[in-house]
Amino acid sequence: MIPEIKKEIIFDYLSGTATAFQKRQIEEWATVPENRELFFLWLWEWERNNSQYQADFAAGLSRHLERMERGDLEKPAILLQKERPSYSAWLKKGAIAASLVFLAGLAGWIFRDEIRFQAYSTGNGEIRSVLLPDSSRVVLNANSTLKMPRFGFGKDARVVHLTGEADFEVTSRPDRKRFVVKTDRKLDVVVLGTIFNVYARPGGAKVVLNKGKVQLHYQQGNREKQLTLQPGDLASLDEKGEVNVRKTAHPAVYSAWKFHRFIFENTSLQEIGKKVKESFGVTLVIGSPELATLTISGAFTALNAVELVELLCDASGDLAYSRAGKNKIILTNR
Amino acid sequence: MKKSAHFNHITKKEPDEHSPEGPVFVRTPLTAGKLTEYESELIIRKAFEADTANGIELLFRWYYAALCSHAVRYVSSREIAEDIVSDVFYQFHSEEIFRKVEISYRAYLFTSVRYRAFDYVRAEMKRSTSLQQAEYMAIREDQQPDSLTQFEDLYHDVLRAIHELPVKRREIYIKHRFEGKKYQEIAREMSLSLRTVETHMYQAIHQVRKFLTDRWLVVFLACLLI
Repeated sequence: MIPEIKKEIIFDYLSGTATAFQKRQIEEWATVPENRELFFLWLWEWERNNSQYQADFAAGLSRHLERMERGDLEKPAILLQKERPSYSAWLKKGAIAASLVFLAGLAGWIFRDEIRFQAYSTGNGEIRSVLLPDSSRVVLNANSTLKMPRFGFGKDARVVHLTGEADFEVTSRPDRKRFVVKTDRKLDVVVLGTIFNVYARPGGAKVVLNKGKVQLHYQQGNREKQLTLQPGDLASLDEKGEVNVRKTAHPAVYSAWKFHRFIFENTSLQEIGKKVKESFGVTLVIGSPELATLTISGAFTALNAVELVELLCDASGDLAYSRAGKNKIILTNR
Repeated sequence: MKKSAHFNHITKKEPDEHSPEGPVFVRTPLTAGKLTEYESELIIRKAFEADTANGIELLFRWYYAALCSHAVRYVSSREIAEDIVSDVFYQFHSEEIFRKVEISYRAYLFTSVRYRAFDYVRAEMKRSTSLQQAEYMAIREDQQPDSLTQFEDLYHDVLRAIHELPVKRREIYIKHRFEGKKYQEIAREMSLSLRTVETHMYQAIHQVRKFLTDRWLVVFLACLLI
């Protein structure tokens, strides 16, 4: 029987006031991996509340970065035993050579693609509208790419390839040629004439239908699957390749980015950080652990990352930010 | 999942037709239990997935001070504590341990610091015992203390050893080792001669080692000989 141990007991134990019996119980309790994790969580909290001294993390970090830069020449700061010879330097050299060969090969491949496809791309914070030859309109969100074949677009079907996020307004054609949005996420959207939003970034894929009718083609394991969406449907593809559909009352919210608007609903800072990275290429560092559980709801209009963060800080009252270089913003408690 | 009793609403109106209620900020305390334990680790793991440098920076921001504070309990010197923590981070980063560990990064970092601190005290003690002829063997997994409580016992004893020192000697010991002050500085502050400070320090170090050796030699020997 594994005893249950409360945080207060662990704190007593760390302070050296636990009884011998309690110590025995803690020993037993800590043999369970989850309890061990809990122990270190509490140890961390205890050290923060009873710190012996306030070590300067910035000095520690810059020392660490210097050590990393010296790399293989670096010796441990504390030497207790004889060092063994290191072969990692030779391994690294081999790896660099191998990756150069690999890169050369890769470049050839990419170049092939350039010839066959016309690409429209957006950078950080950039939103761009593209008119396709069939007069369908595509609005590209930041850090996204739309590719379409240079030759023969619309001959059989109108096929485009999307990475990132885009809003589509597809014209329907008398010959009812299909319009297909292909993504890297094993998800294709087949359309007949409609307004919808497609999100296909490394974190996952989402399709929101505003008007009309679209069909999703996706792969689950080795099987091709199909699904028809109704207006107001939000379909998302999870990491296992499964598609979940739910109704959203405000499909327009998912296209709000077209007007540089960010709409959050119980959104954690971590997710907001992801959005900021996708839209502006700026990394948001959650500087203090207390912020880990902060969630935000509200609508904000911002043209760049600093503007957005400033709005968040103004609105929250106890959130502060500082900039670290061009592409990094650090959030802290005020 | 989240306990609503812990919620702390901060609301502020913003003229915005799309969100009639204005932005809402909801916060739950980090220490509320398993959910947040998982969340805080998740944030760091995600940071590492996106960019190693950012992940490392986050680890320093969150854990560095706490790790140093923990290490200093064993070695009673800031410099040595920071060396130990620096070595742990260096290994974690340069050997890309963050890609391999299955326990949380927090548990890994604290465990490593505790083992290294433990090893340090053991090595220091060996210098002052008659066992000097015993070869210092490479540390292997199975030679490590097997129970959690040995770590706490050790630093509690370090503390006790320092408390046993006579008042003036203890003050000098703490000023020198813990606060990192030079003998000269201490001599000036306490209006003592340099020679007196040196003698006190020598005695203090000797006394602390003796205290620890008496209580820990058997344990350390067991660690060495198993």
